[in-house]
Amino acid sequence: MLEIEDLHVSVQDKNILKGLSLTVPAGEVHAIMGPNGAGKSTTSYTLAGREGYEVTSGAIRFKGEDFVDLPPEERAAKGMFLAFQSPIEIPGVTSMNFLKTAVNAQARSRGEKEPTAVEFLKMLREAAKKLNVTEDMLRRPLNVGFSGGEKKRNEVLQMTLLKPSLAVLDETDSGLDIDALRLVAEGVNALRCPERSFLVITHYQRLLDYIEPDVVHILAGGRIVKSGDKTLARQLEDQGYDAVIGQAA
Amino acid sequence: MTQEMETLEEFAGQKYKYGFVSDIESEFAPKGLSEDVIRFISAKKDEPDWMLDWRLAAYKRWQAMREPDWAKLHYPRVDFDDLYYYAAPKSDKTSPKSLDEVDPELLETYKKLGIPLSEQEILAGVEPKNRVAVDAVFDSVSVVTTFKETLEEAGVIFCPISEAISKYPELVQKYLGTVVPVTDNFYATLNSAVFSDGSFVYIPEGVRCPMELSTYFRINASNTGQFERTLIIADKNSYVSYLEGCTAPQRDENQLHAAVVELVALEGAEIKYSTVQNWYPGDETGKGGIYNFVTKRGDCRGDHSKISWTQVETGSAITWKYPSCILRGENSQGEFYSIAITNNYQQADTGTKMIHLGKNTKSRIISKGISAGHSQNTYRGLVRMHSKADGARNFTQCDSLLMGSDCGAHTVPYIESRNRSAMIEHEATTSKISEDQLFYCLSRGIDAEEAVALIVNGFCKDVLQQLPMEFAVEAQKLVGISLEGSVG
Amino acid sequence: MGEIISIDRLLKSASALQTGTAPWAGALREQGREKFSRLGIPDRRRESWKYSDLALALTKAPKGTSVSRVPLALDGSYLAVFENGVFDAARSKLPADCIVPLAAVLADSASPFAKTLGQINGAEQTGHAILGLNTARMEEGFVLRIPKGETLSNPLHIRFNWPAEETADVDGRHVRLLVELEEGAEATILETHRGTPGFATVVTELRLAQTAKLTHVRIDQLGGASRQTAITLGDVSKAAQYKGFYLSEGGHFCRHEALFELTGDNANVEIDGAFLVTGESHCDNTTVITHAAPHTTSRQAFRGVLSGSSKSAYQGCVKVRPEAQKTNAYQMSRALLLSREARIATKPELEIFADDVKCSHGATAGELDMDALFFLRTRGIPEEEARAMLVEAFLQEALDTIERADLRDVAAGTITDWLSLHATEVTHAG
Repeated sequence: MLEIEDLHVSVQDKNILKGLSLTVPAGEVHAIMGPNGAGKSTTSYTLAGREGYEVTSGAIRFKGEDFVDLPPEERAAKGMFLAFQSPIEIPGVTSMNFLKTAVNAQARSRGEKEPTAVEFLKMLREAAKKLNVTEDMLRRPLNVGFSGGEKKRNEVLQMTLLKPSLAVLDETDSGLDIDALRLVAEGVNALRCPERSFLVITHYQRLLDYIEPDVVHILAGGRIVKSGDKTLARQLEDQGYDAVIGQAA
Repeated sequence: MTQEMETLEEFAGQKYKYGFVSDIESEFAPKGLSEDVIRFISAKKDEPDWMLDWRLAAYKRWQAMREPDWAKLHYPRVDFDDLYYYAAPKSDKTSPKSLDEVDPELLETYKKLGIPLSEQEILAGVEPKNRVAVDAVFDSVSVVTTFKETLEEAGVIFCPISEAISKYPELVQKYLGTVVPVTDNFYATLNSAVFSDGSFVYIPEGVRCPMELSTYFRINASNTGQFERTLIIADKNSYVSYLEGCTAPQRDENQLHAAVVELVALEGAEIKYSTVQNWYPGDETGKGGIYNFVTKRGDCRGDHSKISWTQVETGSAITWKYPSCILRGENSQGEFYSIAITNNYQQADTGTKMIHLGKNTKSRIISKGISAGHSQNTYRGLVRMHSKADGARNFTQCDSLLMGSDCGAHTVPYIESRNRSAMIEHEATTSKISEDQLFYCLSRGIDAEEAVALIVNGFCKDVLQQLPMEFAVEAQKLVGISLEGSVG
Repeated sequence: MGEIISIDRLLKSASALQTGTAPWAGALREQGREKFSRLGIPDRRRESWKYSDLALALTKAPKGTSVSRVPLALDGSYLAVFENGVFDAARSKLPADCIVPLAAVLADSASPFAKTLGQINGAEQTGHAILGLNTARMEEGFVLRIPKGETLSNPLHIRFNWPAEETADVDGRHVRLLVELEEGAEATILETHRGTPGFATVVTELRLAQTAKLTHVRIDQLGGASRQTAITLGDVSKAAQYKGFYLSEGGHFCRHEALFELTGDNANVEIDGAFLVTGESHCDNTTVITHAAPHTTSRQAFRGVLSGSSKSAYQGCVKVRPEAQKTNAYQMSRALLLSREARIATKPELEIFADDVKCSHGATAGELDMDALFFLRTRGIPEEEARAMLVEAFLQEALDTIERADLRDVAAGTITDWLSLHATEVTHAG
């Protein structure tokens, strides 16, 4: 599904990723864990195609296709989804309108038929119900005045409707209490299937109690220093980053 | 009226602390302004011809100019022919070689003002890192500059501008009038014609000035205008922090102060300029006080340069002052931190201009205005993004606090953008001092006057913390004193 | 074209208007003539015209094109039509018994409107050259009066058509309206301007007696070569409410001033505005809200979308008089610059003489929010569509302040029309 090969990325002339390599096969959940400043957010923004995140060398292949030069909207249409650490507030655009615009735009881009208003509403209501997203939230401007939990649920709702092949979850657990975390994790788990992969980026092991990864990678100094199964996350939690990264080095 | 308010009113009887007059025999230029007076001033200072010509050209220009009237200031027009443009303590020598030669009465004056001029005294009491070099300007002349030798070792030039004109003419000629042109405005042009003294600072490339530099201005003689001129040049990658303080005796007539300050920051250089302005503000009926018409401007000429203005304006009957930054160099930064306090019948119209010319230039304006009594306090500011200022940023926060129902607080920002990628954010608020906060303090046993000082100091915190240590404590006290008698 | 517009020329027909005018009206006109002759045509040396030099605009030949637009109509409304500044009774559909033509008012020596016409917000009228000109030259217009406790049953649509062929008519057209709402009266007015006036001044005076309520939506949809200065003056008394929404697309010279005085306790003024300016157009929104009584509130929020090489200005002044304790005033201005050459000048001014007040203002200028743009794109929305969406969202917040759905639809329709006409400017980073 996703292959990252010896990726170097600089932001404002500063090298952040220094030879990141990673392969996520279809249907698997991979976690990237790392201390502050390891390059976690840079990884997610680079995958989504944010301006200013300059790939100086290396490659990103998504479903076998070179991804580096594609604008964010084309990556999205091809099945890439980034759940933001801090979802953006857009006053003046209702969540409902936003979701419809996004669903239609992706359908158009893929040459598929746009869902009718009725089909869309049915899809939206079903998904919203599961995530406990109220009708009122859908009518309010996107993320404006939403609590941390509401914002993250809204991200999962978007993921549900947009049906990506790869979902990158950037610190989705940040700012969530345990109940909100569980609700978000259930939403994510419901979307797990053999055609879909996940890349869960997090600082803490906590989220991985709820979204169980197949592989755990440790990111430090801009590259993967160690990979292992889910017990690696536990080991990190027990021993701390310094000890585990120290062993790896 | 509550009891605590009465206590405050009593306190208002306190007089301006620096209102005394020193008995020093002075020498004056003839009263009024003419070419002859300018020639007199120039001759007194043994100036080269180019300097005299510069002055005369300015005078010619000034005669065709009109006094500006756009500020929210009301005062009887100044009679420019009824002033002395030059007053100097009479001494046998034109400039004293050392402290021993300075008139003891003068030293006594500065001692009373809390400005020690004796290096031994300073060294005795203070850690070397906190040393401050002082240029003391008394009426129209610089009387003494301390720590000159120490500074010279570091390559720093710190001297009266009159001395710089003769000793470093190439530097003065290269920079004088390049930030504030002779034709800039009525008061600046007048200053260009008649300026008598002021400080000159040059920090060579790569030098971090080893101590704070400071000028202390004192108007003593009556009916005398003070027209000082300051020029500070920070060469590439240098740093200097400069402090300015001012006081004047308590007199019934108004006195004129029209200074010009020019700052030049070359590539990578930083200038921090702090002012505590405490000219005599006039009495509680509005009689007397200094008219303070000052042009201060900094030019961030080089890339990555920075100029930061911090001012605490508590004195003067009339303040007309807009310390500004021209952000020419790419990535250059301008800052303006201001506290303006007006009480009784004081009027202040002050603010800044941030002119963004270069790419990725940044500016920050924090202004705190406090009006009390019958005073009027205006913030006036301009933020302009020119078409080439890609990625420029400005943030402005402008707060006014009103104490009493007879005063006014006004905010007049001009915000102009000619560049899409430039971002401007401006916020302003005006409100009264919080009764809840006052009551809370009182209920904890803090008296009203102290409570006001506490709350106002809190209101001004963002600005006060920009001041160098030496000034911050003094400024905090001043904030309290300036507002005495203002609650009721 | 190229003819110099002088004070004399603008006033040349003023004296001819005196025939058939009641003495009070003649005196009023004469005051206006005197004021305008004395002050002259405002230029940028006059502080409040710093960003809008009318004298210059009147000497330059106006350029700019107009395109046909979707019609502006409000179903079920009364209609007052002005064709090139002249009232067109045949095409109008007026409410019964509450409208008097201006000419009849001016001819009536015992007119009850003698004490209000030309007197609303007197402090701002002093020293206002264009009000002087309009008073000297006013001929067309009407007075609308709603009696105590009554509500105008349908909105009144005042429709101004300024035919393009009249562009050369530089003597100017000068229309005067007076709206008086007696105690507790209510009305809704939609004022629209279409076409290309050569030079028009439109002055609307509003008197809102106690607890009266006026909703006023004005839409300036003028051609690129138009020159217009419109002034809305208001006296809002005790517990009365004025709610305005101003939409403007600018012109060669297009300025609207809202000058309101809150004269009674609990009076309230709320003004929202949007300006969409492109090409070489100019657009100026100027407001002066004077709080002259305690417990009064005002709110102003203006949003500008600027492209091409347009020049816009927003000057908003809040004045609080010493007697206006407990005033609450808020002011916000946001400008979105979409092109390299567009310019905006903002001057949000506070002039406060009372201490127990809460006044604040904010202003921003800049391009589209890049974080929001990126976010939309990561959801698969193409860049151009995402840009258009953000511009619409920016304006939506202004539209949301219009309470009546039918009026909101008219305003929204105008915005949609503008956005589709200028889609390229809006959606390209250029």
